Order: sequence, then structure tokens, then C-alpha cells
Amino acid sequence: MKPAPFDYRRPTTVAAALTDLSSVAGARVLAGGQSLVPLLSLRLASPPVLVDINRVAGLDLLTTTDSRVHIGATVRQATVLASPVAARHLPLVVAALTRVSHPQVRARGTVVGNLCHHDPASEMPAVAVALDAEFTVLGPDGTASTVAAADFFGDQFEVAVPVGGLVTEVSFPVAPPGSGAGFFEVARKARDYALLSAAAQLTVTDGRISAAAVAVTGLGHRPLRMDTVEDALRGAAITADALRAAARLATGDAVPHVNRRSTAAYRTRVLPVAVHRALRAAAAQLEEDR
Amino acid sequence: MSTPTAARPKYVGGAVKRREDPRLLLGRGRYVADIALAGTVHMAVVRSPHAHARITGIDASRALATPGVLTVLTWPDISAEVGPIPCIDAYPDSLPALQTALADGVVRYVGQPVAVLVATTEYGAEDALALVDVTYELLTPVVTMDDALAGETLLHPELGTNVVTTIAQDVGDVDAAFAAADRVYEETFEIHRYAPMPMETRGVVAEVDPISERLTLTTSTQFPHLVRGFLSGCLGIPESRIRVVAPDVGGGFGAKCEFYCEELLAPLLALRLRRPVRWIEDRREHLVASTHAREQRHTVRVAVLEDGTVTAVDARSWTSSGAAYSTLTTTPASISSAMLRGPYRIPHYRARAHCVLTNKTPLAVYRGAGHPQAVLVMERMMDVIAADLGRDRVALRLQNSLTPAELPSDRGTAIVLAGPVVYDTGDYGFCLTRAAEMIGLDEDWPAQQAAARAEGRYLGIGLANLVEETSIGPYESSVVRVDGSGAVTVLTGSSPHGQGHVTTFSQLVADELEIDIERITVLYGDTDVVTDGVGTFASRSAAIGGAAARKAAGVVKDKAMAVAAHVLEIDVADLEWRDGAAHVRGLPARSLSLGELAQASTAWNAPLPGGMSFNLEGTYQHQAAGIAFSNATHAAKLAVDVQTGEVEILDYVVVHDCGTVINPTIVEGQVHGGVAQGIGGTFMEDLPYDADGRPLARTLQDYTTPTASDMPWIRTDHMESPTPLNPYGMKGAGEGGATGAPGALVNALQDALSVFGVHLTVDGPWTPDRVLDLVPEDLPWA
Repeated sequence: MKPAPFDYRRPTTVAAALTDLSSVAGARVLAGGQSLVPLLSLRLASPPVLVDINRVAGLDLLTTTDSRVHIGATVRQATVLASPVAARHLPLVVAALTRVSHPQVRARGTVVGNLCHHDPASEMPAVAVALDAEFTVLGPDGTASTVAAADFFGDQFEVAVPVGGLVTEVSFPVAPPGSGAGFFEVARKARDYALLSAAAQLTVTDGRISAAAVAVTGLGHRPLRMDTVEDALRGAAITADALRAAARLATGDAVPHVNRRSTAAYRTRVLPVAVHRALRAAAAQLEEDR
Repeated sequence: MSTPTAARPKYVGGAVKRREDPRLLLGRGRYVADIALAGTVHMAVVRSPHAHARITGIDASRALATPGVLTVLTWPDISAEVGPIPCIDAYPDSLPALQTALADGVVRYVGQPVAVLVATTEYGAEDALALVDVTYELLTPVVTMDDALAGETLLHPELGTNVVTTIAQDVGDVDAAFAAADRVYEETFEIHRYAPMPMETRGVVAEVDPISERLTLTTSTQFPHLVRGFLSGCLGIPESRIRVVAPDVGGGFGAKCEFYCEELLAPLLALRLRRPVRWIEDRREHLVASTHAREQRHTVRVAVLEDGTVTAVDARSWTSSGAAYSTLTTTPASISSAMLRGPYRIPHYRARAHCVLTNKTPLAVYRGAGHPQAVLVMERMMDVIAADLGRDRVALRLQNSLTPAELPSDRGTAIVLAGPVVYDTGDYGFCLTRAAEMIGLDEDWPAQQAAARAEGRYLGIGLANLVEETSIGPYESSVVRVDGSGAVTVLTGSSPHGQGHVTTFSQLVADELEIDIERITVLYGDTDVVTDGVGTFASRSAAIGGAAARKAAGVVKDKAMAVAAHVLEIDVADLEWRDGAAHVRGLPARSLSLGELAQASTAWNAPLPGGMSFNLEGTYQHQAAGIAFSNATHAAKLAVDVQTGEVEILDYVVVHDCGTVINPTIVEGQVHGGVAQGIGGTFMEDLPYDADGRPLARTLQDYTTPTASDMPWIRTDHMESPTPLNPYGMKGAGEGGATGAPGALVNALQDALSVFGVHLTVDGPWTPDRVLDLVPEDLPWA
């Protein structure tokens, strides 16, 4: 495969990375490269400059502060999956990451890069939206801002990062005690891009659902929070009937797939089923942990 | 008195580990793309973006003005020098629709080569593609079978039709059988377009050898010797001036059983530029520039008596052959029409099989060629008939199956390039009975199915019987030679692309010479090393090539005995061959080893008597006496998730018979790989085109193939019915997996969903959305 010509920069500091990213219009960040490099090879993307951030100091950290887990921009998906911190505090992130491609891809692919790429069929944006993830976004001049997941994802392949800017980390809230996570997707084959994914986290306090976080991807061009489902669950006892009734409230507009991965009618029909399966999985995890 | 020794264990029949695997698994394979010759320049191909258009202008000036671009060629630049791409399976009355190496004024499929360029770097060549300006006048695309048959737009107006070949098979008195039938069933089946998709795409390196000044083409092909002939014919260069090399080939499955435009263009450019010219197909090119497969429509009428006897089939088929003939273009239609009846007696049979031009990539053979389509059609019909008559699916099949006592059976049909269809050996009923038993299809099954359904689990079992053409001729060659250390070299004209020739051929020769397998080296794939050969396709290598190798080893053994008799000055009748040495009968201590005999054969000061040639070497050409037919029964058990449309294969059984088995591990590997491809075609793989004739599967993100994670555990059982057509009883095993899987899987899906009144007449791909469309929306949730 043969990418079009590009300049390659490999800064070692955030400041230098921002300078490189601002140097030419259309410069792109290279992290794990698992989405970008195939696009380059197919010449579906031909940025004039690639800024490889893999050697930028301080971006490879996985830390816990203020009841949030912070994942740096070059932290690999495999690193998160192998991390005891993630296993303990981010059950929904772990559940979704195991469905992101194969181990070979996860060994290089980064959590932040995958989210910034924002493929509409990708699994992780659903988790980010469900859990109210926060992105640390640097402007070209280095000013940092925190962007909530609800505001981060634009149309497909678009995220709220200014030209010449850089996402340095994403953070997820630690799952409260008494939480269970479930992730469900339908795909054409094992570990393929999902046709539809649903992410759910349920927190139970005193036998009733105190918090419910549910979101899907694959339906439209951006991840969709299932507010009506969450509202129905909040305060309910965790029964099979309650989960089923709530899942049936899942609605959304499906967009057609250009390449016929699946029909819009299919995804509309499967939406409540996918939400139901994710909820059931979350409930099953709660049961296990009890 | 000779000392009794324990019988030397035989390699043939043993699960010998593949000798080629350590090298390949350690990344030490050498594929075309790994070859780096000094001074190599890089070829890139400008391809048509349109399905059907007239070229109104090609302006290469921008490309030629770019540093590093050496040349750009279009059809007028080469038309005087190169002939069309040959088709070797045309019928005498086939209408000519050959492809030229570059489009001759009209493009007829997206991906068709329009111009070719060479640059000093691979990236520079790719950049220059965008600098060749081609203008087109669009013509109406012929995309669907109905478009093509309507004939309003013709791909080749001078032919007057889009139907370029019609194959006829006539057996018995079909009309009388229908007149006498109690019931007549008619169905039309659609089989979709998908492709072999080998892991390694195609690639070529062409150079003029600086010493001999001969043309050398290294290409990822299944048949280097045939490529040598095609290249000679197209370029007008004698075969003696051409060397073709197939290095490691990462899968072919029929896609590399073709001679392609690029295999002609790169040599032409190497001759013109006098530099090595390299081209490696990328996956996006592969999806449009390498042959597609499978797409057929079948309409069958079946005559049946009340007792379940199937008396006649009247079949018509249409193959969407794409824009032009490929090297093997009629073979799928020919095989489908000749083999449709499978193992069933059906004494009266008529088929008309049409090859139809469409504005799509040329369609050719893919593992099983026309067999999988035929099996799907016949096996679906058996289930349709059984359901209508209220008969057990297994019993109805058994009733109509040929028995061993009825074999050999001349079926009255013929396959192009292969010859008349005469089933040789096999016990079709046994394989069916065993497979049904293994998968659990018995009188309890309907009750089990209903019980599972009550719990929301929709299970289905499907069967497919197959009889398949294997081991076609005309011949294969082999040379076996022994050096003074007793090491043995085997040359075979059959060039592998993953079949394990090194292992199986070693097993055969080791048994013949009674030596350790480690002493054997197997060489292939280079027309200068092995000057004569045919190739690897049609499940022929182990049976035909393997027989040649073992026979050549036998020639060597006979000569070794003669040399031993000379050296020991005794009669050859007083010698016996044992453990890789000639032993004097009654004097076990007196023996000469293979190495000692090789040395004696090369002793300059002691020439062999009677004009015997120097060296211990034997050559043998094994000619096939006819087609050997392998058979199998596939049985699949699956579960449909009626809420999501996802299908899980719970169990998969293949009971098969490929005659004498050389290596059960390799046979099982062939079965597994073939079943994987059948699963891919049935549930995932698809090459759809839009209304303008543009392919929608442009990358492997669109074209989905199964991986190990998608595979069920496959259980196999071997049965061995040796064929008298082969000196060692061997038949072919390479294609049965792919041949049986679609029929078994679609029948299983039908079985699982028949409660909804489903009637499946499409082979797939049964993606989750299409499956869910078969399920009523108001089904209660599990």
C-alpha cells in the first residue's frame, strides 16, 4: 500500500507537538496508527504532515485522581485492558475494549486515538458518552480546556478539537460501588466493526437502581445517549421485567450505510434488543459481584 | 536366511507434520513482494473507474513530465506486440470475447487496465496514476443478469448477444420422464458473487536475465508452466526464451489459476526498459482486478414419482461471466451443469448452461468451481421434495443415491478440459448415514428442535451430499534423483500454494524408497528447475503429481537394483529392496545403500554396463486415466438468534472420501479451509455492484471474510474408497470443503426458520439483517 507523500515529525514535548500541528494546514496526529495508517495507504487521507506523538513525554500515563481515571493520549488499548486500575474502576471501558478489534490491533491502538477518530461504527464513543467522559483538549497556543463527551463528538469522523490542537487525555469517572457494566454489539463477524453497539452501566443502591448510563453507537453518525431508557430505570428494582420494559423505550433514527453493512431498518429493529442485552449483561455482572 | 526385521512404518496414511510449516511460521517465506533485484523499477496500472465507457482520450503528458516516471503505455503503443489474454476452456462454438492487456477503446468493467506506467519508486508510480488523464464517454452499463439477457445493451455489439457460450448436457429422455412424473417441482436459485480472496494478493517481477538474455517472470501463480506457454503465445517469444518462477504463494484458490494482464505487461516493460519491473497488487486492486467467482442463476424442474424416486431434472443456468473471458471462464458453468445431480441416480437429465457477459470483473474458478452452486441447488431441492412428500430427508436421499454396486457409473455428461463424467468409486449412502448420525439428525430431532424453540432457541440441521470432480489430467511429471550421500531430490511440475506438497510428496517417495523423510528435498515452481509440468488446481496435485513422484521413485529403485546387481555381480532376482538399500537374499549383511548405489552410478572409472546412463535418477510422467470423483456429506447444526439475526454454527460434520489418504492432517486442513470459505460465502462475503456497475466492496472493511474466531469446531470422519484410476488409489481433497458447505448451511438455516414459512432460494450472504428479515417482527422477546 502506498500513501501519498507527507512530512513526518516526531516531537518529544507537547509544546513541540503543538508547533508541528500548527505548521501546516491539515497536519494530523499519529498515535497508534491503527485507523489512520490504513486510510493513508488507501489515500483516503493525505495529510501533508504527520505528527507522531508516541515519544511525547507524559502522554503514556494511566492515573487515578479525584474519583476519575485518566488515560493519556498514547496509552494503548491493551495497556488499559491489562491494568488492575481499569479492571477495578472502569468495568464498562474494559467490557467495550475487549470488543475493539483483535489483540494485535489493541497492542498498538490507543484509547484516545480511537475516540478521536470517531468512526460511527466504533464501540468506545458509546462508552464515553454513557459515562460522561471528559477530554483534555489543548488549543494551538497550549491553553487547556475540558470538553465533555456529550460535546466532543460531532458528525462522523469529527470531534471538537480546534485546528492545530491536541487531545492529551480522556478521563472516565470511577464506577461507584454497586455498579455493573454490560456491553453488547452485533457485528458481521467476530471483532469486526459493530453494526450496532450498546453500552450500559447500572448502579444499585439499597436494592434499587440509583444510576443508569446507557448509550449506543452505529445508529446514526454520532453516539446516542438513551435518556428515556435511563429515566425508566432510575429508581426501579432490578428485575427482568424492568430491564425489558426500559429497553423497549430505546428509540433513535438510523442512517443508511453507504456500503450496505446493514440496513437502517435492521438497526432500528435491533436497537431495543441491543440495549436489552447490554442491560442484562450489566445486571449479570452485578449478580456476579454480589 | 534373512533376519526378520520389524516392518518399516509407512509414512503414507500417517499424520506427518507439515515439513514446510516451521519456515513459513517463522516468517522465512519468500513471496514475490520479498524479491528485491538491484535496479528494479515499479509498474502501476491506470484502471477504469467506469463499468462501461468509450475512451475518448488519454493524455499522459503530465505523468511523463514528472521526474522518476520512465514510461506510460496505452493500447495503441503495444497492440502490435501482444496478443489477447487466452481462454483455454472455450467451447468450439463459444463466441469470442477475449480481453486485451490494456483496454482497446472501450472499458467494460471497473478496474480494467487502461494504461500502464513505470516509475523509479513504488510511491512515485502510485502518485503518477493521478497524472494520466483519461476521458470517457459513458455507455449504458449491463449489471444484472436480467440486463444482460434482455440484450438491449451489448458488451460486444459485433457478437449480437451477451450470451457467449451455451453448454448442453443431455441424458436419457427428459420429456418422457416429466410426462410420467407424479409431481413436478420448479425453483429458481440465485447464487451471489464473491471471490477467493487469498491472503497474498497477486504480484510479478519481470526481468531480462543478464546472462542468458531470457525473460524471467516471477509471479504468484498456481501454474508457472502454463504461464510460460501463455506468455510465449502472447508475446511471440519461444518458450525456450522464457523462465517462469512461482516462489512461495500465499493462497490461490483459483484466483491464481489465471493468466492476467499484469503478467503480460510487466514482461513487456522489462523487455523494453531492460530493467527489472515489479508490480504488487494491493487489496483495493485485487477486489476488482483479480477474478471473481460463483455468481449464477439456476432454474430447475424436477420430476418425482409418488414413492420419492427422482426421475428427471431439467436445468438451466446462467453464469454472470463478467466483461470478458478469463483463462478459465466456462469451467464453472460446465461443472455445474455436468455435476448437478451429485450422488443421485436421476436417469434423465438435461441442462443448458449459459455464460453471460456483464460489466463486471471477469468471473472464473474458485475452490470447487461450479460444484458448490450445483450442490446447493440439488440439496435444496432434495429438502423441498422431502418436505412436500412428508419424507425423511436422509431416507429420500438414500433412496435416490447410487450404491457402490452401481459404480462405475457413466453419468452421460462431460466437463470441459476434464472429459466424461464416470463416477468411479465411493459409498455415498455410508457417508450420508454416518454424517446424519454424527450431527444428531434422527427421529428425535424434530422434538428436540420444538423443545428448543419453546425456549426461544431456533435450531436447524442441514445436509449436503456432494460428488466432485478431482484429479483431472492430462498428466503431471516428476524427476527423482539421488546424490552420493543418499539424499533424494524430488522435482514436481505441480507448483503448490499452501497444499503441503513438500510433506505429501516426501511421504510417497519415502515409502517407495523405504528411507527417512528427512532425506528428501522437494523442488517445484521454477520452469528452469522443473522443465515440464501442469500445475495445482482441480484437486489434482497429490493424486496426479504424487503418483508421478512415487512412480519416478520406483524408476530410481529399479535402476538402483540393477546397479547393485552389477556391482555385486549377482542376478537382480537374488536381490531385495529393504530399508533404502539393496540386500542380497539370504545374506542380510551384504547390502548396498541408496547412497552407495548413487556413487556407483556416477563412477567415471567404472561405467555401468549395457549402456545404462550415469547417475541415479528417474523420470516419470503420470497420465490420468480419467476423472476420479471424491465424495462427502456435510452436516451443519446452527442456532439463529431471532432477535438480532445472528447465526451461530453449533456443530459441523464432514464425512468424506478422497480415496487413499496420504496425510489425514493435511486432508483435514483442506476440509477446514474449504468449509471456512463456504461459511464466508454463506454468511459474509459479497461483491455487490450499484446500478452504475460500480463495485461497493472496495476494501476488506466492506468485504468481510471469516477469521479463526468465526469458525466452529469441525468434526471429520474419513472413509477410503481407492480409485482404480490411480496406481495408489488416491483422489483429490482440496475442494470438497468449499463445495459442500453452502448447501449444508443454507439447508440448516431453512430448517431453523421453516416454522416461519421461510423458503430459501438464495445462497446468501445471510448477514444479520437479511436473516432478521425472515423473522416476524411480533415475535415475543426471549
